[in-house]
Amino acid sequence: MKKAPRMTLQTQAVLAVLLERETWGFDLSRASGLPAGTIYPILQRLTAAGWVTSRWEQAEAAQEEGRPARRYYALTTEGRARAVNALTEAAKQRTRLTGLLSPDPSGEQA
Amino acid sequence: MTAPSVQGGRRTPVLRWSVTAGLIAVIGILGIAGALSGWIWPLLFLCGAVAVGLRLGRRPWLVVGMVVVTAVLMSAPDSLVAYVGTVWIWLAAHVGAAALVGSARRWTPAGTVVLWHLAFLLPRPERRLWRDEIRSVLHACADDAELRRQVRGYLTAVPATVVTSWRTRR
Repeated sequence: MKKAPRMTLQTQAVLAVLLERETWGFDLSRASGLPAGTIYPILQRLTAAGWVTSRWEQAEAAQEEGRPARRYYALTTEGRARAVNALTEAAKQRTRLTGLLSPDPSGEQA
Repeated sequence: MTAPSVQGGRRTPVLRWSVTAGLIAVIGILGIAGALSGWIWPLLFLCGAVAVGLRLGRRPWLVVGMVVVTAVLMSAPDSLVAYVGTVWIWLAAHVGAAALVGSARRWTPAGTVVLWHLAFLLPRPERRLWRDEIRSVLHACADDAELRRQVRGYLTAVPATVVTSWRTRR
């Protein structure tokens, strides 16, 4: 069984975008707010874990638009299920942490 | 696959530098040997001022300033020469430092070129993929600010990219 990738905030942002749509480096960067250079190793780890798959678009299609070919990334079936679980778990942890950090009105000292 | 062109990669011809260095050496040797009389030094300084001013064409005030300082040096009494000289050395040091920094900036290759070369740190099959990805991302950048942000992103992520590439290839 492949090792699950570390669920950093950046990884969560990338997964959140990938859950919405198949996308490519620059679009992923814009949607997640992270530089594409930061995203690249994350995608490598997700690909190695089997969560993400990638494909290069047809060179002819890119040439028609006068730009380089793009590499599109998408979640695999297994990756999608794991990403949903991972993001749900991360959201729960954030809620727990927020609850611990926020002051409890009933617990105020006189 | 070719690397993107180096922006501002202007290089001074070696011949010009050699001639300049040779002239300075000859004048220095003549000075040490006592073959040049005292009045020749301000004139040499003036020639140097004009040459430097012409070389730094975008700074005409520099030539004017050097000529004025030379005139003052030639006409001022000996007691003032030390003060004028101190001011001039201070100014020359700043201009020299600015010129050095400017040269260093011009000769530093652009970030995209550095990225192209850094690809050699990656496993062989990964290099082309990384370069193609960078090319497609940078091509999509709408303005220079976005381009710089992405290049900086790739540069700062090089260690993580290299380590991850080798780990995932094992």
